[in-house]
Amino acid sequence: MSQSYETYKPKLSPTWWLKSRNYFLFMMRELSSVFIAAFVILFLYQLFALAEGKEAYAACRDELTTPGFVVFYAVAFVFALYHTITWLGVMGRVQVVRMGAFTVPPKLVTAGAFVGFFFVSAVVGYIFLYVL
Amino acid sequence: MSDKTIGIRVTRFRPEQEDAPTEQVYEVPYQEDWVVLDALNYIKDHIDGTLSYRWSCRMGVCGSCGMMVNGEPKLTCAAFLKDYYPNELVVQPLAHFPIIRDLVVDIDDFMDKLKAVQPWIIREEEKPVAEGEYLQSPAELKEFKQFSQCINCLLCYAACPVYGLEDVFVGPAALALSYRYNLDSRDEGYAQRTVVAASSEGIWECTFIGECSVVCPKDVDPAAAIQRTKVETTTNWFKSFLMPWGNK
Ligand code: SF4
Ligand code: FES
Repeated sequence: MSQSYETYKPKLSPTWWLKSRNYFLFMMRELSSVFIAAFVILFLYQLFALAEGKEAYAACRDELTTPGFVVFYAVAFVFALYHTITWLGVMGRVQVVRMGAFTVPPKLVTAGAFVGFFFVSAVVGYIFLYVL
Repeated sequence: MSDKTIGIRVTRFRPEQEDAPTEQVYEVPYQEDWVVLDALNYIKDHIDGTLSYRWSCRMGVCGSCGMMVNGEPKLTCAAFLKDYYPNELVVQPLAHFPIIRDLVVDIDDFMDKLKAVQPWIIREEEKPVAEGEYLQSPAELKEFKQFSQCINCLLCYAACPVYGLEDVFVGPAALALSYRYNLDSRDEGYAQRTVVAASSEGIWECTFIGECSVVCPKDVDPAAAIQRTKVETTTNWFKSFLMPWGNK
């Protein structure tokens, strides 16, 4: 479309995400992936050490249980929990579940997602604590 | 009229006399049943006839009175002064759009995007008028009704930082309307719309901040429409990949 008048185009400030609570929480959700990615790298590092033998694994464990790392795990856990809750919380809005002509109410879809999450977490926890 | 007054700090931009917007404060009578638009009309009628802004229906239907009220996108005909009184109120043009004059923004970009998603019923072959209308059941109508309530007020664009940063983004309302027509049982234009909706400037630009749905005065939930389009196009892509003989 041709434009024959002058306009003023405002620019978004780099601190836009500090201007509202919702924007800030969104940024925290995005930031959570950095912590999760870092945790995954540490986890892979442990797996490689484990593959190298008992001694290498013991040394790696010592390295990764210093107070600094423990604080990091706690922060990463809070971020992971926040990401998970916000992700599962919107499930009902995002995923339409149909059963023939019946559409499952969004709240039920969200509740189902949480139940599934707790179930899978319990199974994984059980395997780690009692099977391995 | 009561003796109480309220200060309204309004953005002014007169391109013939200034390079960047400025502000002007007007003191207007405070009435409990007044909305922000009433205050602007008071300014225009009694204090300063040069103030420019858009409005029409004064009842949340036309979608033309959207502005930033204390930094939040609002329909000014639905934002009551009593929710802000006694503090001074800041009224600015809708964020992220170029300003033409005072509180009037240029929405050509949105109009182009709206056209691009083809928000009308597309048929592979139109049936002759003599054969009657395309029928639809109440259940089929229910599928998309929520997404058809959009009044093009553009509050969602003003709330979307992605659009503010990258105005190539097709944006919430246009994508919600694209989804609305895809859901319509009478429509056969999915493939044509998806070229735009699933392009790099479409749904994949959205990071699901979700503020578009928070500010939407009609509960359209454009954020959900966009995420559902992501799920749907991804599922269809997998289906076409795994079952190339399938229809879609
Ligand atoms: S989706 Fe909602 S906020 Fe966006 S233009 Fe439509 S009515 Fe306005
Ligand atoms: S004047 Fe029509 S929506 Fe506000």
